[in-house]
Amino acid sequence: MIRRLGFDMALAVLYLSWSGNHAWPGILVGLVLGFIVVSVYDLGTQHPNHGRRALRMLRFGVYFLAILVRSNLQIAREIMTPGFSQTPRILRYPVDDLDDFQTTVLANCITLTPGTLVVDVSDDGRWLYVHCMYALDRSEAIAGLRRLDERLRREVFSW
Amino acid sequence: MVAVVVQAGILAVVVGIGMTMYRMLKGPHIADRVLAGDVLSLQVVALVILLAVDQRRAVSLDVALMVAIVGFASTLAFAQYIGAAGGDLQPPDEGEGG
Amino acid sequence: MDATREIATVLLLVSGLSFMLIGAWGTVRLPDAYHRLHASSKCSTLGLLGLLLGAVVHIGTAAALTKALLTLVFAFVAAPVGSHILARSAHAAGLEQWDRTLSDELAEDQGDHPEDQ
Repeated sequence: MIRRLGFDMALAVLYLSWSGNHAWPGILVGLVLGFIVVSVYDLGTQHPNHGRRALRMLRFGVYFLAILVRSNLQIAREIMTPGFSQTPRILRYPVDDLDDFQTTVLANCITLTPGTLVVDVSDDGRWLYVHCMYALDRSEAIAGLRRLDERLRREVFSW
Repeated sequence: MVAVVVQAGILAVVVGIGMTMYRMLKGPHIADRVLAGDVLSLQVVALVILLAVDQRRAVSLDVALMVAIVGFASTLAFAQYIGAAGGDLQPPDEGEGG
Repeated sequence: MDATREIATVLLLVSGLSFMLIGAWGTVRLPDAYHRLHASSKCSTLGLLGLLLGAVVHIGTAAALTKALLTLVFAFVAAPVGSHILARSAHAAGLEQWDRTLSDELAEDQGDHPEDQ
């Protein structure tokens, strides 16, 4: 119910801004202020703290942008310097305990991080198959994927 | 200064389109051609964004979103086609035009 | 203020355009379709980010911001999904890989599922 209300409100803000209605920045300020008030209220009670969660999600967004830029610089260097130094493999990576939506988010993040590209998901949803450009040492490549996975679990999936 | 960047940007996009056309005509496997078409649609999106910058109007950004959506849908359709056809899609060696 | 804005626009547009160009170059130069997918998914996403932010800074209206954000959200979801589904069907169609590929655990696993890690 609450989720549907939030969806309705997001659509309303989208419509207002798309149609060039000049009132929408005010409505946005109202929404943000309301969110801050609710977060402050959460601080003094036993309720789950939405403010801190939103902050953690924001921090993950910044981290994600940083690794996106780094992966672009890496592949740009590979394209622009003569010769190839890749040591590609297709690895399997376990995602047993994630549901479908979380697997999708993790797969998208893996594709946009340096040197990795998701090729396939097994039919039962237990394994991701990842094409790694630099995987001379298999366990090291898996450890890199694990770092991203754990960060995503800690900061986004813990809602 | 922005006008100069827009002109240079159009040139850069044209060069990029030329490169993707090369891959689309040559690409050994059909997946290479579809991938080139995907990149090509994104180059067109970049061109439309440059148009929006040049006109200084937000309306053209609608077009960019639409081109991106159509490009994504066509990539999906081609990918389904490749997956459904399985292994019997190896093109003949003389490389017909894409 | 206007000068800063113009410089920001130029920087964002130039970085976006160079990443788009590098992505296109990557599709020509890299050795097999998987590597080309790496180039296209990463570079076009960041390139669109730069171009759209440049357009928003230059146009400077709320409507432009909304449209750019929607396009960005779409690009950040669509580019990885598109490259994923393309790689998957290419692998199913038996695309031969670069001869320096070390191992292919997907081909090993096709059919039965592994119990070891």
